[in-house]
Amino acid sequence: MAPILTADNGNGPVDLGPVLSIFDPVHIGLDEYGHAKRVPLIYRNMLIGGEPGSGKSGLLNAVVAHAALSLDCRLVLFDGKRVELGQWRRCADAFVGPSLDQALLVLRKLQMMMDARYDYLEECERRKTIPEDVFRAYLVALDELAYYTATIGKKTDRDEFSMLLRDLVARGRAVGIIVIAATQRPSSDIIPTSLRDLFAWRYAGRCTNDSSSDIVLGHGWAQKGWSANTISPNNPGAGLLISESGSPELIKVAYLDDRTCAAIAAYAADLRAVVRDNMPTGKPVLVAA
Amino acid sequence: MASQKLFGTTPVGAVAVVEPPVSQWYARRARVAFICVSLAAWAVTAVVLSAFVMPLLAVALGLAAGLLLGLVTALVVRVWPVLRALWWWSLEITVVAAVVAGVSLAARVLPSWLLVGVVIVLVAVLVLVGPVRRFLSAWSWCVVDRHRLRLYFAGLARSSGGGRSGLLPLMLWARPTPAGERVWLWLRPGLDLTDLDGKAGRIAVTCWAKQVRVVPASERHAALIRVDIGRRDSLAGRIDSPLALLIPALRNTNTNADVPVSAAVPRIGLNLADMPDPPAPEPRNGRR
Ligand SMILES: Nc1ncnc2c1ncn2[C@@H]1O[C@H](COP(=O)(O)OP(=O)(O)O)[C@@H](O)[C@H]1O
Ligand SMILES: [Mg+2]
Repeated sequence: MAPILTADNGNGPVDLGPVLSIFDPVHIGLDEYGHAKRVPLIYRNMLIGGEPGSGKSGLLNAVVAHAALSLDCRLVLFDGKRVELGQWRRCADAFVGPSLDQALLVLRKLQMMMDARYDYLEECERRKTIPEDVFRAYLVALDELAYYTATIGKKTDRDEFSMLLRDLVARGRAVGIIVIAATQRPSSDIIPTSLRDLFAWRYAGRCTNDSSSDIVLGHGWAQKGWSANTISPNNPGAGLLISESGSPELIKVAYLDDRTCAAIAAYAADLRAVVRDNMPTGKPVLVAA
Repeated sequence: MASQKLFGTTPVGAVAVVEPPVSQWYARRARVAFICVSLAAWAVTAVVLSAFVMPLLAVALGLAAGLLLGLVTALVVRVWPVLRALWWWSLEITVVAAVVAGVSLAARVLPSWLLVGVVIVLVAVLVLVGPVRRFLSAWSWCVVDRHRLRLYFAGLARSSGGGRSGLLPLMLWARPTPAGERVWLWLRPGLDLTDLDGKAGRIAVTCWAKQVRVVPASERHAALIRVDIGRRDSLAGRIDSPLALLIPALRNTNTNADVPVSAAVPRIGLNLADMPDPPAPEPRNGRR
């Protein structure tokens, strides 16, 4: 849906200008040569790896901040630690803390929604969602993925979680479901290799060794000189970013400190609260508080 | 030794001339070139001239022209290493020549005390003014990189048994980046990107850099590659998000907010000493 706010002054709607859109590339920081790094996220997924304190949650927050300010995107947040994404709770459609049952519930609902969307697209004879669509994109952000897939709950539940997530990652792209998952070392005991290899964007913050770096980026990059092990431990937020095609790039994530994050989240929540769907025209409108 | 090579105007090609195998190789090339070019030019000139003058005269004239052309070609081939070295160092030679010419020209029109003053002021500006100094040093590194990369590839060609330096990549263009420099190269037959896999460290050592990345630079030509040379960590500082500029509350940053605190949640249980002892876990059946 076009992210245009309109207000009614009696003589018909007045466009208030664009806000951000999830269909825009997301600014995540600077590349090695000092140029801004923007990554298109729609129709793609992102995997974030790296040792503790390497800035994974920082990148996740940068992406979620963009999505929160994009009125054509809804948020579903999973955070085993609760505080990393907790500031965005008011902007989110669903916020899952450290509870596997709740996580499974939300994922099942997302899966049902995805199927319904495919029914709709099939009916319209379309193959993917577009910016002016009747439904919004969803950003599904998961921090500390290993908590849900390998730590809490029963094995059967954890396996179901992996399976549902895999389905979302594999099939969600075309209906606007973007999955961004952060975990420390996405080895096969944390997430199935078949799931790991579905992520288009991969970001490796500092890793303790070359093999950990290869697990995130894909096999063989360390041998070609691209190892996240070479990143200084004193430089959190620096990491290697790689997309489906092309070679890795060293980037530094733009950091949102707590105050900035809180201010953006509050603004986004207010914006979302006053903007209601106006289904007949297909545009969000501002309603009086 | 390195600085002599770098800053002296003695061309590196001088090495090639005194290196016996290379020199002999060029001598042989020169002889072959002389024979081929002479014969070809003779034939072509004779045929063309025979349309205008007597055949015998045409043959004689063609022979003279062929000999002349062959001689010139052979000479160029023979001194090719020197010409090439002059071309490699042409920028430095031009700069030195321009400086010397400028100073000597100024010496004619200015009194000597003024000349010394002008030179001192110019040098001071170049060295002391930050932006000028950074601009100069950034572009000087680009020049240095081209020489160092050439040195590296010459070594690579020699170690791969070729012995001749004809397969050096062409250095296309170099420009500074916030982290170092970026150089584009055009590889010649006999070398490709995979030959440079794992050699980045050596290239970095050769270029006196911290690290080097070699990546393809073109979708269409495998021969076009890009060498990114890193000398500084341009990513060390903190980078602010442009999103903050969109938020009215954050645009005036003079408010020095302190750590957010919660008034609603009582501050109890935030220290280990506040915590009650949890009940001891029940011993499991069947084990010990
Ligand atoms: N992009 C960044 N720039 C500067 N500092 C950062 C950046 N990202 C993280 N940090 C610092 O590193 C600390 C840990 O980052 P965090 O994102 O929580 O790591 P992780 O989630 O990988 O454990 C943060 O508290 C912050 O101080
Ligand atoms: Mg974290």
